[in-house]
Amino acid sequence: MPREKFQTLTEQMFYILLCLRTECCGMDMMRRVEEMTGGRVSVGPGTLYNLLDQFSAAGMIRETRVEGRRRSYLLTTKGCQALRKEYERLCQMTEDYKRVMEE
Amino acid sequence: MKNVKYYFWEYLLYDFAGVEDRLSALAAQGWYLDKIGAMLWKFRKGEPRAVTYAVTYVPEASEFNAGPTKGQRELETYCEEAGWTKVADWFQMQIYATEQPSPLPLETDEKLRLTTIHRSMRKNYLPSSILLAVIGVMLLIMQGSNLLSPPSYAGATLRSTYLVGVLDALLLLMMSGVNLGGYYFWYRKSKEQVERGGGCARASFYRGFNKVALTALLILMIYWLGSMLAGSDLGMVVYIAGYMAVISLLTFLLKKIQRGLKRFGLSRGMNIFLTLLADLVLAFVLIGILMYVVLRTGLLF
Repeated sequence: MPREKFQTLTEQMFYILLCLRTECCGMDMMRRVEEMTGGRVSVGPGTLYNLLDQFSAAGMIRETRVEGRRRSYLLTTKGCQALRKEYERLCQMTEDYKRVMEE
Repeated sequence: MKNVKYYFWEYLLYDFAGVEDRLSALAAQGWYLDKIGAMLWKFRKGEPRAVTYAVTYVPEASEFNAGPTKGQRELETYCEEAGWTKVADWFQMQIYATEQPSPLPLETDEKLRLTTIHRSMRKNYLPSSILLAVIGVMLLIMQGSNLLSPPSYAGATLRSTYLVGVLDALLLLMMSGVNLGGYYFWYRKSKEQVERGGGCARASFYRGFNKVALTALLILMIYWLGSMLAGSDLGMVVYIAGYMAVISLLTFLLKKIQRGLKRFGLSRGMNIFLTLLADLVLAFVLIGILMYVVLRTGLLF
């Protein structure tokens, strides 16, 4: 059965959505994701553009402001749910890991 | 020493790695991309520098858009923030360059890169390659049936034209097949590699084949024209030269018209419609003039 789009999120998807819990400009997102992850995760500008485009089309984020060349976005309810669902999936994986390693 | 060079651009739209490597290698020799043409890319001479080129794709970009789309402008903003400068765009491919020693790559998600490339290929590369293959099949059937059952008035000249037509159609079909099949196998291999956590596959096999096919096509045409001249069939040679000139003029004029329409700020749909209309009218007029000259001068009889 084909996996539904955004059923699982990549690290970059996850951190971009996390950034957008508060209004954030696309240009600042690349820096914020690096800061949030201590440099472990980086998002290239091409990847950022395409992800924002896909999240927008899927109704997971919405554009809030345009100031010259700066476009700001914010998470929608659907985006919050997707983020929450991914968090729960990762927690479940962590629990499964602990349980198996303790056996 | 000349400051401008033209390269026959043998790379296909999905071969991002090939385009990046080639542009970077040329920059290291002091040649910088200046303008992208239909088949020839223009390069300007400068000081050799270590420049990294990278490409990304914007599926909604089109040669028929009046200007950069909102998406292209947004992408350019993000790329500038990361230290990349826009160089050119080629259909859906956006070409950027940087002189930073360890730049943040444009693409950091290979799965997303592959998805975006595929969306872009579905916009025009795949439909136009399929159309070319269909035209190849139609030409093969037409020329093949003429060759097998030539009309009663067909002399040796016309029969040899049918043979050349069949061989041309076969080459066209083979090239379309290799390019379409090549994309299919590249996409499948890339998908497998990306699913395993790797990157998209490299695609270079088609360049060798296309070079051989185009060379074969050229040799075929030269041989056929030569045999026409040797057989004192100057009329046919002049007709073919006239036909090629008409096609070249048509291509040149359409490009000018397309660029002119963009300056009016027309929508993509209107631009496509008017360009196709101009194509129809110009083809009718130019080929009409050629046929009139052929009939009036008795060139082929």
